Amino acid sequence: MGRLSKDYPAKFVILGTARKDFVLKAINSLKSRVTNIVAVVNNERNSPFPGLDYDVKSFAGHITKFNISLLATLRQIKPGVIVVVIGDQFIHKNVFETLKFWMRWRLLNKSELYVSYSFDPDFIEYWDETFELPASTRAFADKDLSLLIITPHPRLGWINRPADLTVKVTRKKGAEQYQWRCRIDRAGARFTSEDQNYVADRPLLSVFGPSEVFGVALNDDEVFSWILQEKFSSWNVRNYGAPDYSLHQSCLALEERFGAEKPKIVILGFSARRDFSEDELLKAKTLCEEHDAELIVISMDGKPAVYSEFLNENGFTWPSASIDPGKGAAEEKVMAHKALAEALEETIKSIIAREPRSK
Amino acid sequence: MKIHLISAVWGDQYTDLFLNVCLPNQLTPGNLRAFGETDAVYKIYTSSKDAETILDNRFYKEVESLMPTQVVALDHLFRSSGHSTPISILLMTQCHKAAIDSANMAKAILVFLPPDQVYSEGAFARLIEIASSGKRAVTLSGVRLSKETFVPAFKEKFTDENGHMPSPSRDLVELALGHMHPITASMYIDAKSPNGAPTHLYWKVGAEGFVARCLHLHPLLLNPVSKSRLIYGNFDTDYFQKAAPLPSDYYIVTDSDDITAFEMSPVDKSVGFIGASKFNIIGYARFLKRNGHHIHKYFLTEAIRIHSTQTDDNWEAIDAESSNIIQAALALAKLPDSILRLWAFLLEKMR
Repeated sequence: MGRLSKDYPAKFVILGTARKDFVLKAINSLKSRVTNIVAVVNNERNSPFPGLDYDVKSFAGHITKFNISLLATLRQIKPGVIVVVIGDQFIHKNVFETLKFWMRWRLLNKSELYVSYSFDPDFIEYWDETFELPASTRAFADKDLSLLIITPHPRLGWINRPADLTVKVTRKKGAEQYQWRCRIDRAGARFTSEDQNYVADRPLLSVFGPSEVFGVALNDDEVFSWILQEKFSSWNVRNYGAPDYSLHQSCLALEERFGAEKPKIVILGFSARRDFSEDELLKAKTLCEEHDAELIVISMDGKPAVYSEFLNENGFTWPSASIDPGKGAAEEKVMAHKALAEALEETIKSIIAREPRSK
Repeated sequence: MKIHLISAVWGDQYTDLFLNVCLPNQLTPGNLRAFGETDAVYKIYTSSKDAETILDNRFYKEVESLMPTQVVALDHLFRSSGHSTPISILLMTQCHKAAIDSANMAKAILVFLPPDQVYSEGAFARLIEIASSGKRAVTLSGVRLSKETFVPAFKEKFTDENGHMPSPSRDLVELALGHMHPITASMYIDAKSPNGAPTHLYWKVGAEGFVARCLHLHPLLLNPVSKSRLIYGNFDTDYFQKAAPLPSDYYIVTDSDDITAFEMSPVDKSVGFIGASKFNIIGYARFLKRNGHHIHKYFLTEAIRIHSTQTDDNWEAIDAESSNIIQAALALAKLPDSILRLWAFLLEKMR
């Protein structure tokens, strides 16, 4: 999750509404990512909780709007984030209704609500009942499949969720079969290598952009970011592209990642035809300059580089202007990504060979 | 008409049941083959391990030859579920969540096909007819049978020369009546050990069948009025209320001649809480008070006939008897729970 870093300032409440082993799994998973954890559990389950490096507080009774015990406990903590651990069967909507009711009537400070599922303790999902799926006007071959990998996010609208999914599609009564596999790590980055091993002392190249950058309907190893990782094995390459991202969202994602890591090179993909914005590109450029990162911009639909007057020399157009990677046959998309990786290779090499940027 | 046929299945037992009983039952002229003129896609949500078995299966390959398919392996859901507690409902919900999002995006009608359900011949053709008439949802009872005894008998009785299993409604009901699951048996109005969560109530009509009154019905088809997302709980609870909020949008299958579905469950599947005494209307009213929304209560008002022979006046009488009990229970459920509790306490003392 983009926003959760070790130094997340607010108190992080794990609200256990499920069996204690589920709650413990969620705590153990989150402990590696955030500090300031306080577990809040029903007092009948309090004693077996090992409160080693986090606090454990308890409340009495069932979770309802009238549970003063829980309200008092939470008020005392003043949480910034509340993660509700969901058990083995149902989501207990009363828990969310209660918390939202208290927040609405200012009985409890506004906190971000997340849910942790018992079957997937490594992942917490932002709880947003009003979340609407991206409504893009583009025709996209596997658009509905891209929905499998996104989850609501309070600032970015949606982000990639950790996933390992394989899709086998058969079209037109047995004809046109194809299969693709997509893996996303806990940071929301598409896999760029088999083990997605992030080596700490290697420089980082981060990729941002919409579905075409993410590579919907392509296997992990067919996306240009994977090919770049193979070409630049002494670097870490991370693909933060996300389905249906606008340029604005990609810039926000870039900003978020600058908070957590320091890429040396940033590749930003966008569609000149779809959502070109000089302001957003300038924002990305400024951000990269502030963080000593080189920016490479890719126009995904082959439109001329109308932005060249204010961008650096690294502005790119997608290598095959006639191909929209969202539409064509799988082979065409694969070829386009290969060609893009090759075109980028030279530019990246020249950036690496250059003297480090000075402010 | 865009249709997404959805199934979520995983694990050896359910995958086998789905592939070798459910699919051959669906691959008949009156079922999957009836979707010929529609824009239908068959979508299966599973794990990659089970996907391999599915993709190799001859009946699945037949489905591929009939219509476009998608097999979606969501390994991130299944890989981390390595503990002993059953989490099938929550995983099922995650699969349905993905399926509903996808259907909403494609503006498609959803047909929910559980991996443990068999249908009468012609059920899907009828489903298309009903959907074409403008109804938004088709719901049916999906009575539970004991898998271990029912499946061999079902295969023996209905398998044709192609390996398909078309099952005419009355023949299917006749067979099913001999294989009722203990959960089903606990929901008869005269059960000695009645179920503590009576989502269904059944009234026997001789040896020919029974009348069912159901708080929960299986939603076989849904053409959502609002493209809302599945957020809470099972797809057949709050989500349905949001996606099709008006009772008039629902087509309740009230006669097994129309469409029949039976669910096959392991005989040792937990029956749940069993009430200490026979059915009593106060206890039932309290159950209704705590459970179900207005659509569920609407389901209860319809008598559903599951029958293996022609129905006669005797069925009318049983319909009326069941109606009296349901109307009384729904009226009682409007009283404060404290009064119902006191009433139940006094009844117990008098006993």
